[in-house]
Amino acid sequence: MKKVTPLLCAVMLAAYSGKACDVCGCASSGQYFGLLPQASRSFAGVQYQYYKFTTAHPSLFENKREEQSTNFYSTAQAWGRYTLGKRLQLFGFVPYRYNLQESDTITYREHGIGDVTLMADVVFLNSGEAITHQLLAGGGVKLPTGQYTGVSENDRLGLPNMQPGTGSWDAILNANYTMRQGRKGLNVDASYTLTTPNRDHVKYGNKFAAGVVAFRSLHADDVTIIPQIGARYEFALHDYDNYSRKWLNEQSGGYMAFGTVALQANYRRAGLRMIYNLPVSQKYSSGYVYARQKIETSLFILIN
Amino acid sequence: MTIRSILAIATVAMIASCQKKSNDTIDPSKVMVSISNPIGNQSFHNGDTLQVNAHVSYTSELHGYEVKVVDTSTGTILFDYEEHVHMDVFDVDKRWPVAVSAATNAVVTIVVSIDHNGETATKEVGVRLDP
Repeated sequence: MKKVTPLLCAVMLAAYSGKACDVCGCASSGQYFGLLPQASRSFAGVQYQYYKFTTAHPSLFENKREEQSTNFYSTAQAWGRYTLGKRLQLFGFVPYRYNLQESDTITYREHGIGDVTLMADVVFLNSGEAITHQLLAGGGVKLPTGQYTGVSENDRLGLPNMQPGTGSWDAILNANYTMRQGRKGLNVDASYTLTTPNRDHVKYGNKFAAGVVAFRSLHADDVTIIPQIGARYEFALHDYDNYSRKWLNEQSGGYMAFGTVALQANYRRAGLRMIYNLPVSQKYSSGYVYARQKIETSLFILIN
Repeated sequence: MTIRSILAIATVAMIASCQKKSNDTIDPSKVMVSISNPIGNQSFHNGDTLQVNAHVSYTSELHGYEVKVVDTSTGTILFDYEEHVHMDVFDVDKRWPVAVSAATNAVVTIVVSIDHNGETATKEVGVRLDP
């Protein structure tokens, strides 16, 4: 039982993607490492993320109504952690994305392999007795491995960042702090993504994300249940339609704040986590993009 | 790597986020719309295809264009198409199968969107449509 001591390390990665249509850039879907058992052990698993938006595409011309759409972003991905000693942890994400947009006039789908993210975190702090502290920090890179076909006809028509890949190399910095006292605890995580222009000179806005959750561990035999409650904040700068010419897309970017509830269950070497994020405040893409909900489910198995 | 170095990198990252913006000023007179099809006062009959070809250029980013065929006597819109673009140079290539019930004087209009505040540039050419 005690071997399955849950350590909350909600290390946030930020494999964001975004296309430079006027009102979008809206797939600012970050990724959590979430609540991982045995922070010193390696694991492998799968995740499923679901993100829903509603979008208004205003007409550029007079006497035309704006087009409404609903966007569904789904990601299934392999993820894992490999620990190198007590100080270094390597993380990887290999996503497959399925994006669907239903508008007044058309239904549009994009799917394929997404951008792989690789991270390396250093354990800076892992100490304490009655109250324990753990601090991870590091960084990584999002590789342009995903399917990206350039600025498509659909992008010109105002469809959002539907392609599985962004075509850009992005750098990620992250930090994660967990404090525990007995069965209670608090986790704070933050990340910052520095984007670069892709081959079409499109540069998606840099992203900042931070979250805090309070948790409590409930034990029964080999099972540990960890309910969590907290909040999350995401902020994205404007995209550039053409970075070399400094064509700033001022209708992109913005912030979203979510209330978060989550539940994690650990059974021996296996873990299951479910997170539900509900937006409580937001202004994204000048208000034309509205996040509805964000759901994540993860499974993982400890390897060593 | 120390905590101090992590904070230093994070600070540099935040500073690097300052977003520069093109200093180009909006000037509709600099939008060049060259319509190669149709030519002025060209006549079309039902069953013909009215092909609209144009070359558009500007000194900075354009955001979209609209192609319209409008009955000049009634203001009725016979054909209408709009598209987003994020370029300074692009070509327009649209087709409309002519279908009118009476002889009509019409105008083919290309409206180019320069920004999101309603600034546009317009080029027109008149055509004759017959049943």
